[in-house]
Amino acid sequence: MENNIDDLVLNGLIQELRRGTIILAVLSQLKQPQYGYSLIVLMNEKGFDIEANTLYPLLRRLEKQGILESFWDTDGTKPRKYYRLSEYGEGVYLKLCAAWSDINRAVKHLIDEEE
Amino acid sequence: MVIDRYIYAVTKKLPRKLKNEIGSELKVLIDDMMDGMDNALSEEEKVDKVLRELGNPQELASRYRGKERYLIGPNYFDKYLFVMKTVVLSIFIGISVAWGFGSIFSIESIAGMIGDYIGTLLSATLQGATWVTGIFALLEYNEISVETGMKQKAWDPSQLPELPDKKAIISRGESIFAIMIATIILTLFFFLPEIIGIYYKAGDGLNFIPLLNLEGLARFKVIIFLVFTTNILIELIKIIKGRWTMKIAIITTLLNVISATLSINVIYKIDIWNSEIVQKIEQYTPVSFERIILITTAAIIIITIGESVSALYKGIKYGGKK
Repeated sequence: MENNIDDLVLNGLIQELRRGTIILAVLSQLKQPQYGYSLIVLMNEKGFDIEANTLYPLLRRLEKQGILESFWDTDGTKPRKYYRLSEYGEGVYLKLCAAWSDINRAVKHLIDEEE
Repeated sequence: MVIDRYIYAVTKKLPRKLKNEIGSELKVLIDDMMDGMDNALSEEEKVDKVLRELGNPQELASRYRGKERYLIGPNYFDKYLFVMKTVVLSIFIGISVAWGFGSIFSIESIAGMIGDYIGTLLSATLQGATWVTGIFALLEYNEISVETGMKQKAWDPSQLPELPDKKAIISRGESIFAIMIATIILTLFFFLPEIIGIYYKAGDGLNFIPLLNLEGLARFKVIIFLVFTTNILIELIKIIKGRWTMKIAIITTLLNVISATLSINVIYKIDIWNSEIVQKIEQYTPVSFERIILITTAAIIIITIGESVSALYKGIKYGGKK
């Protein structure tokens, strides 16, 4: 029982930690156009689990912010909306990467100091 | 079909221009997710699994919307409840008192009075509740802070409210009392003007001369209502704000002056008075009716000036610091 609760707390904390990295992870895969589901499959294959109910609204938001651009492909049997980084988005992505390395380095420094 | 029902549940409250796009996007997504599943599963099992994975449609919709929307959100809700209770309570007491008086002097049957009383109570409470809700919905919609009266911007320590000086707090009781009085007077003038008058002993019975000329009064009902609304508005602003500031002082003073001007305007209309009472007064008392109106006017002016000076004094003293 106690273990269960500990797991629950831990899971919550891990989720919180992941949440901040989702946008960076998604942007990293959008140099080539992808539609929502293909992106989920791609990221799952590479070991980053993301759920559709998180990703789909997020893609829309990023498009609204001008970071992504989209186009519809209606050639196949299923009409699909493809997203990819916009020019502005590419710049944002690079800056995010730099920020991520900084955070990473600083946190690593803190953790290593502990040991 | 379950899938259509799910999509409908997600999209029904989304903005119209997004509805179709998100709907077809979800349809394709669900289809793709089902295709990606183990073929040993039946169609129904697949649908069930996919929908469970997508989760509660309301949550998904709110993620698409990005930000929760409220008529009256958590920032305002406590204040809203407080003001609502105050207003409803005052209206209830005010109308009850007015009709209590009415039932003593009226010749109507008790059953009819009770019916009218409940009717008035309902419509007045509804009216009050609508005003309060409307004001708060407006504050919420424009994200105007109750504390600063301005659009909420990036927070800055200078926005912290002053520690309230005990004397700077606007007494809730006073406001309740004022709304009650206003409600009593409005109820009397609006619904029971026929019972306002002079009652005097004549032989065995009670004799009565009405004070008002009902037909004359009817033409000024809008103005009377305006005076009433202005007074309620003053009290509402005071309750919502809760403490004296320069701004509140200026607003209440302005509204007070408007209300007084309108009132004086109405009492000078000779039409609204019952001509019989005008004659009787001039016949039996040394003062002329005109003099009585003059005195009333002076009283209104003095009270208004008194209230304004007191409001401005408190505004300068407790809210002047910028």
